[in-house]
Amino acid sequence: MVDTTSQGWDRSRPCVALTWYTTNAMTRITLRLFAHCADRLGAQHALELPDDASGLFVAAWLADHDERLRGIERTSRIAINDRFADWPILLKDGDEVAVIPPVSGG
Amino acid sequence: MISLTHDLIDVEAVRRSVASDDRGGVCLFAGVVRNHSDGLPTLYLEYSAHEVMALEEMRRIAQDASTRWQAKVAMVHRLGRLEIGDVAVVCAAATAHRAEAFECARYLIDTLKQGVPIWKKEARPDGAVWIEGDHVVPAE
Repeated sequence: MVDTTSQGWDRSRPCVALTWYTTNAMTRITLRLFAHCADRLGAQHALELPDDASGLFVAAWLADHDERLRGIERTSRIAINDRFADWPILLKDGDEVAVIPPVSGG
Repeated sequence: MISLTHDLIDVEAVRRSVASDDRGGVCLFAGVVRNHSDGLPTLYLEYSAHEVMALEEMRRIAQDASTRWQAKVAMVHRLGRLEIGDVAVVCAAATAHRAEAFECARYLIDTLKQGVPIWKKEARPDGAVWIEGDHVVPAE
């Protein structure tokens, strides 16, 4: 048993609790949708994804929730924390992910 | 002046924001809500945006344009529901002479329409549609 509360715990041995947390960590993201995507599914979602999830996982999530959004990664761009990115990018805990369809301002 | 607003755009205020004594040409472009699209009547429009990214992109375009034409520029886009005849966007460019002002204002509006994350939903008599680039997608 590893005693993490005392000064003298054995740092050469892995902390069991920490190991469990690391291998089972979830990536919590905020997903923001716009235009027809927001119409279909709502403008904002809090998602818990596997810790190796990329933007493509989000695309698959969208397709799972509305068949009409299948292939969104081919028609729309992804932005992470207000910056355009590539769909295969790995997501980090706390990221804000936005799906940006072709624009029509002006 | 680079902004998004849910209120009426004060075109004269946009002009004043780029005016200066050494600039003799001010070109103002106003995009206005038209009553038809794709051969169908338009009842009204609703604009929405990723506001943080839209403002960042508008600032980047303004910076590029002001450097390229030695211009003072402004871009204001309206969001929310707009009626026919409402001003949806104003781009302004002030330069020493008129030729650069025309070119610069055209660059501002053309570049805004290409890449700034703003979307319009058109209300038509048979239902609403999202305009997404060249795609027309039925709204819910």
